[in-house]
Amino acid sequence: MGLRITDLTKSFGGLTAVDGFNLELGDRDLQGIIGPNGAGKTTVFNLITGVYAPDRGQIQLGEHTVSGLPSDAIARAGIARTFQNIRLFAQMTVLDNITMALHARAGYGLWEAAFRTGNFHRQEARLLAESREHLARFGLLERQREQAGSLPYGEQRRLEIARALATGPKVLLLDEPAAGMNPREVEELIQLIQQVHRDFSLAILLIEHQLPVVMELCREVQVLDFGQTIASGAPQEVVRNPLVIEAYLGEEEAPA
Amino acid sequence: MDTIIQQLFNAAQLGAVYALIALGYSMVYGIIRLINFAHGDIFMLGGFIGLLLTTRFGWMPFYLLLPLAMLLTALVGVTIERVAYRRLRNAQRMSVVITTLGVGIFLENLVRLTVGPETRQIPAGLPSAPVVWLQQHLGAFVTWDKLLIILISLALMAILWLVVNRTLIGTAMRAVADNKDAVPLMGVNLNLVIAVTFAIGSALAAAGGIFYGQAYSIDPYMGIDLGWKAFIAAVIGGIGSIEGAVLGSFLLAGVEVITVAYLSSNLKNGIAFGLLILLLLVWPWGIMGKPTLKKV
Repeated sequence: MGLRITDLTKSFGGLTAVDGFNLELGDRDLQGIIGPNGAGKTTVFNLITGVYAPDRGQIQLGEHTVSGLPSDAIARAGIARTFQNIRLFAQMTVLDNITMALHARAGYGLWEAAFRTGNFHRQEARLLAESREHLARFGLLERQREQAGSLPYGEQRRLEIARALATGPKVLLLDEPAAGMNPREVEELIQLIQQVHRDFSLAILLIEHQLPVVMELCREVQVLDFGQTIASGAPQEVVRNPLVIEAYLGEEEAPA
Repeated sequence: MDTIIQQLFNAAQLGAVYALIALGYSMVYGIIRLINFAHGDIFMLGGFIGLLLTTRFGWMPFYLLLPLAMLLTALVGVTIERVAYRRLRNAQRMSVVITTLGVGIFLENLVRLTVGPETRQIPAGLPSAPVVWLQQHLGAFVTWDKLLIILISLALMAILWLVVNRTLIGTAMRAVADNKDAVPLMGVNLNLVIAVTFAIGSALAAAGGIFYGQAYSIDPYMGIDLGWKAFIAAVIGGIGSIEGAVLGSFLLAGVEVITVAYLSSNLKNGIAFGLLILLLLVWPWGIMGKPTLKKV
């Protein structure tokens, strides 16, 4: 299993947002993508999840090619994600957010749901129990009846990760999960990601701006700048790479 | 006293028809922010499909006719969404509005050409004898068809409420209304959810069309006037809200019936639109609508 991406490329007008991106993400791997703003990190996620169709390149989940599939089919194939700016169903209850995600692997179609067969009732009861169990795992069970949008920021982030996991993914994409968090929340988040990585059998790909988070979590990182991978390897090495320092801090001297 | 009760039943019958139309406006707006101005014509078409079924298959009992006409109209609604609206989902709002108006004109003329422009009544499928109990106890003359139209409509609304709030497809519909972009990432086919919403809205409108054709009459252009009224009712109730659409419909019908009974039938439309303008001035979100601030 795992995710293999070869030569992924996407242009918008004259701008090549992602240029020949490659990735080998093993079964239980935890890798990171870092880079300055506008480097194309989120575009990579949007390409993987089918928000955009790639101009070139291939995305494979295990044996299956998922590039070119619609988003919902990619989600059912086993790729889940979170967003930099949290995208919960804010008006719905915490519980409904999870139930919605369990749709992906509920094992029956929407038509059956509309016409409520006997099988559906059994499934629904099981689904509800499963949703509660899932919430309990993330310490959100007491919040189940509350509106998702009314939770404190850190818990919304946690619910978004819980919801992504409820789709039963093989690969989890986290887009800047530490964005807007204070140091204590960041520490909790790192623990949460480690726990998820330990308890669920999946691979994690992480976009992050805060280097300490990547340093602590990832075995391997890629650095993107202007859509291209300018460095990759162990995080401790990568941050010492002059190209990376230049991309983050700007050039120290004017180009000749 | 007896006339007041009779007027109440008249208002309830008219309100039920408005509500069956208004629900479709409100649901579609709720999930994809589209005001489907062809929806009044879907209501008209539902009435004519009902008429054709009764005239062609006179033996068909009402309890078969109603669901069959609802099903056929639902198919039309889904087809319109697929052919005309889906490709415009991310287009400018004005293009979509004009398309819905165009679809409406198309439907009106389609029926006018194939069935004819005459006003017709759907032959009685429901018993039209007076309800004896009401006559004896309240002194009100209310026919069975009126009572049944009100009761079946309320039952349909109750079923809708259960579907939206107690089933997975309903959860999916609410999720689309809440955050459309996040829905496919849950593995749910967005197009299917939107198609189901159009199907339900069209089926309810068809029921409204058949009831209207039983209680009053149908013609190819009835969807314009009644569609606008139902749209007003949906806005009064708070567009996007199911409870609001029902509430707004009964409120509007009540005001109209009272106006006709105690003032003048000429004032009916003036008062209906006046009510809308007044509401938009003081509480533009509608009765059940929540004040929203547009994020800039």
